[in-house]
Amino acid sequence: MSSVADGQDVVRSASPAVARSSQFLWMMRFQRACAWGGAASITIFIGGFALAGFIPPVGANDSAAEIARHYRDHQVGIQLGGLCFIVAGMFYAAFTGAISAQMSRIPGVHRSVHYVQLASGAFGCLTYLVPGLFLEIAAFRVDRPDETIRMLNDMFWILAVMPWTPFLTQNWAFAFAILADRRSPSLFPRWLAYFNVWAPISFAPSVLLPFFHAGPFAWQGIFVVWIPAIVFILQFAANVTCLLRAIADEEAEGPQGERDGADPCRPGATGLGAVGGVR
Amino acid sequence: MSAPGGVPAPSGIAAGPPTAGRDRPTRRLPAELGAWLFVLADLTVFAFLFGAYLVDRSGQEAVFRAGQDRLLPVFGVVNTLLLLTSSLAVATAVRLLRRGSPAVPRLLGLAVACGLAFSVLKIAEYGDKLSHGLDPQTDAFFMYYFVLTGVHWFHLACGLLMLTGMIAVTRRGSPLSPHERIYVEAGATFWHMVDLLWIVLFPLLYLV
Repeated sequence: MSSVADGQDVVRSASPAVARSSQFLWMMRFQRACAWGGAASITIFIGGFALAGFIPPVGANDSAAEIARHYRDHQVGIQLGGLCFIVAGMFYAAFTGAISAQMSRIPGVHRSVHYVQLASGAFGCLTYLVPGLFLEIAAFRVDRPDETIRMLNDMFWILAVMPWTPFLTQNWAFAFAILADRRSPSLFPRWLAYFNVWAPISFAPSVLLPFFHAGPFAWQGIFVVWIPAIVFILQFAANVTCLLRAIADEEAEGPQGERDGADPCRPGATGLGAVGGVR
Repeated sequence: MSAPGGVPAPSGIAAGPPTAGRDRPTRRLPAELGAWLFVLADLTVFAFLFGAYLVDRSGQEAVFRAGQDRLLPVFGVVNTLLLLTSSLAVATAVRLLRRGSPAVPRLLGLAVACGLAFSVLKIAEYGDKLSHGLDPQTDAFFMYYFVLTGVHWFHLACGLLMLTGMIAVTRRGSPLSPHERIYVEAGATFWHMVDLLWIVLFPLLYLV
């Protein structure tokens, strides 16, 4: 807190150039924190499954009594796990914001591409929040009938594992922006785009989960939970790493770069530069 | 996948049109490295799918044989011929691309037509199976039959979209930019992968 106050003092007392660079530094720290939010999101998300005793998952073919027993035996873990999903969704929102910000630094990328990424990322947050809430509801009264607990468990799993659509549009928009970068070297490595095209395709077999209670295409199956989970973790690792590099690139450019980047597609191009510069 | 870090723009971008039209073009990776990593990753997932099929098959061979006997190989054979034809058309189109031939969009159109015919046959085949009461719930064989061919068809549909885009890019007749060239080559690579997967899938489901 005290260093924030220091920063504001500088804004008031020092020259506009110093004030601008101090403000820029804070903006970069904020952005970097958002990018790290991606790492926090995936760690907490996986941690939620672990706390709830869902590694390995309970089976879609387990009896109501078995499921209910799991919830009664792991009540506190499930309550904390549910909280983890909710918190992971919060960090995912911040992470999505950082991706949007760096996408907007690629010249010539149309607003619609950022908007699809941003809107889909916000939509994706629901796939953390809502199943987390179902876990909280299920564990709230574990003296409910077994059948009711199993229904809430079904709602949790289907909501947590099945939705891949928000990630497909989000990742493909991000990939499109990366591939549209005509500079060399490009802001993001091009392989990252191909990775982000492929990752949601590998999540897509989850469309099969409603049809199976057992086997490789049920929610506990290799193609619906294990492969997507591994790809999801690798994808976060790749995206966070490359995002941090892109932010470092922006930081190296400095606040000057912000003003000189005459990119008409960038939202908020009237920020620092316009105030300190032309007008 | 995350290991290589921020290696910027690999091969392919710089080496583009300048070599076009020469007698002996310099050897380079078609499309770019990322596209091949994509193919490798996708093939890995399919390898798991084929592996799961074989594991389950070894457990209940009678069920799989009985299911296999209810498939009509003619659908599979015709579809194989269609995809091989389309792959040949795409490969020829990419070769002619270097000379800027007007046949390129027509060849790609032929590939699209083959892909559409494949889809029509697939729908007819699904309809035939469903009308005989055979659906993914029937037994393990039909579960794999519908899932494997369904996942393959999803890839084929994505490939058709890419081919359509490739026609739009090559129809102008003007030289391609380096990025457009990567797009066309990556699309062709993807289409060959769709063909290759079918070449594995067809004997696995219909013949073995």
